[in-house]
Amino acid sequence: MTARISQPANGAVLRLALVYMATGFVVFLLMGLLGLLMRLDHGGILVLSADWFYRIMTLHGSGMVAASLLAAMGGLAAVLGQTLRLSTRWLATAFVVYFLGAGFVIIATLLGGFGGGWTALHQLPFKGFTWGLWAALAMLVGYLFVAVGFLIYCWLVLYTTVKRYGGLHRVLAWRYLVSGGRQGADSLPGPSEIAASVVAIVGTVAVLAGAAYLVPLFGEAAGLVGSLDALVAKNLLFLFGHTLVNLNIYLAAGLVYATLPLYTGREWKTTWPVTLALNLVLLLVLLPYFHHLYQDFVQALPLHILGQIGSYGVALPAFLVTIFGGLSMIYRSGFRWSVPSILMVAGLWGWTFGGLGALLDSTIGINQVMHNTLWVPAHFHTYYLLGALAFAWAYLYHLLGELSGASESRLGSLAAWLYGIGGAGFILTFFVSGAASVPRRYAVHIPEWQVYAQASVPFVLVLMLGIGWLAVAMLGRFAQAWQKAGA
Amino acid sequence: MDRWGIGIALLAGVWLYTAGWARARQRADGSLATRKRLLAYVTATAVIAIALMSAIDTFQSRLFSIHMLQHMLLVYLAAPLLLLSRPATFWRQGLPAGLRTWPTGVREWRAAEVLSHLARPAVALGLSTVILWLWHIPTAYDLALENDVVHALEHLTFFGAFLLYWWPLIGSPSRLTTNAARTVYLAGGGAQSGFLGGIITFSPRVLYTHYLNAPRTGGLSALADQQLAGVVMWFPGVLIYGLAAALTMTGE
Repeated sequence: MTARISQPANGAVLRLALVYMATGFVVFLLMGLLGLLMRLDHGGILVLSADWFYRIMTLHGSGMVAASLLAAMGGLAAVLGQTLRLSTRWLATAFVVYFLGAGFVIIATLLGGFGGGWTALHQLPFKGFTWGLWAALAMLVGYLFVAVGFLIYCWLVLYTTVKRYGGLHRVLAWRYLVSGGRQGADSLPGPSEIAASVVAIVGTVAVLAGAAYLVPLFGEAAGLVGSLDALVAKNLLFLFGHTLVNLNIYLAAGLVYATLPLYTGREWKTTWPVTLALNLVLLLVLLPYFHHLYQDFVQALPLHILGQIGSYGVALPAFLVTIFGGLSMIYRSGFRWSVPSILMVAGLWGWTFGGLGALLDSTIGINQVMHNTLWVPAHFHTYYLLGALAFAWAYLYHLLGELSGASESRLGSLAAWLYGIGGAGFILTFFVSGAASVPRRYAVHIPEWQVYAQASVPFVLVLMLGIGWLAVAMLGRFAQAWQKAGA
Repeated sequence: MDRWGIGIALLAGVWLYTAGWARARQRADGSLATRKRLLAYVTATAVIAIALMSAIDTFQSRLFSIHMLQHMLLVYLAAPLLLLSRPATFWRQGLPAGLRTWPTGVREWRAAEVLSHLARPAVALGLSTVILWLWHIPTAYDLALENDVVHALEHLTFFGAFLLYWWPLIGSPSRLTTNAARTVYLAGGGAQSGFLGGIITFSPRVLYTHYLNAPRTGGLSALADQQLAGVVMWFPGVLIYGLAAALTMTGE
């Protein structure tokens, strides 16, 4: 089965996509090392001070999300560039703003000592015991610029798709949807284009929520604003943050819609179920964030219930379109197993299991027990490491191979298996830890808990071996891919 | 150089530039002698005057944050504006007829080759980074604050280094021919200066003894002033680099 890019994107877009993805990969590697330090600390193998643990935890979490989102943005730009004229001016500007914003997060944590976690909540950011005002501000300014960079990207995507298809209703295929597929079937956007546009719309809402959270905080820091309503602030923060991380996965799914067909020989068409599912995501992806506030008893009960319904509901489009659709596309297709395809399949399963863990934890009754345990990191590590990131590295590997013309050895696929096996084992220890009520966000683990982290370390090493192997392979292809992209 | 000297030099530069610009316009060389270039030059001159001749210069020896503001005006505003105005072209045109042909020999000079090499993106980025960080070493920075000649050298090298930095982006001819290259260049420049600003902001002790001993102004402690100076470096910096990205990227 030949896997080829159907039509090469504009060379300038491809090169920028490579900048996005390569930067995301490098940051992912560095943040992964920080994650290893945390696991070693939890296992009692390496002792970090609490101060440093929380700084590393903060940087690891926010850095991984930033890296993953950046890689997905770049990959999808390359995909969209095959059918749309994306402005590289704004693609590049988005990267510079985003990158420098992420730099502030590094400055705030490594230099400034900020350790409030990525979900630093009002009143906390400015009242930390081990960090000062400027560290908190640097963190929040970092978030602001990352959000602005992402917003520029969203508006670029939306502008381009709307211009290409002649209106938002056409981009989202509403006529086709409402008519039950009987009208408007000609000139339908591809699934990746619809997914990207949905992400762009919801991303705008998420960023506005983030701005509504951040601007009053800056005002408070400047003494212009009195006290803020902590509950409203927390709602806005999670509307921003949770939605953003969800959108990351949908961006990465857009890569799968474009790439999996190249390995199965079957087209991922814009069918009526696909259109319905992606349109439902517009609303459904905004609702689940309430599950982060289940423990806030002052929040109105209907909102908790809405959070549970939303959390369950948003799983349906993902399951039906991406997971079920992807697996049925693979079934009896003569699927060629190679690094990109193995990673994509790992991602599909990761999204499935991560989703199951999320469904459980978003059930109010279960959350009462599991909320502050490692079950929560278990599910989002699955979504990311064996979901969004697996999709992103699959696409990067595929793109580099396609552009450079490098062939893949049979042994090369082993790297992807190591990634999958190491990642799965590492994540499994999180799930087991959570089930054993090991708390999350603790710098120090008592001896009874340490065994779980110790068990994860061999899997982390296997994962690192796989990632290192992938990195070397991709580095070997990069120079030629860069040259061919610009040709 | 005292303020009178700076003022005279700036005025002479404006006179020379304007004369050259007008001469070029008279020759109907409109594509070169644009109003935007004239405005860029005049604005660059004004920014330099504000940085070096206003109260900013008075207070830079007392407050590190003000000194940082002074440097930011020079490297992030004046330098790129000056580059955009193509000063060498119009200064030469502004010279008396007998002297106008003399600078053409510059092309044959080794200096032009050296300048061309220095303006290569990797070299420009590396050199501007090294100069920026070297001058912020406490010994060097304190020496500049205690000695006017060294201080002038500091300003000249900062300015020169950032003229070099901006050159591949907005100089003529532009050395960064793709948006991807410009992206990496701007991200690199912004990251290193932001990181230095972070080191300054989050240092637990006062880095420069000059400011430790300077009379307190504005109610700021030496450490608070230093923190503010670092913020002046990193926060506007990201705005400048982001703006530069939006303005210098082309529609490929």
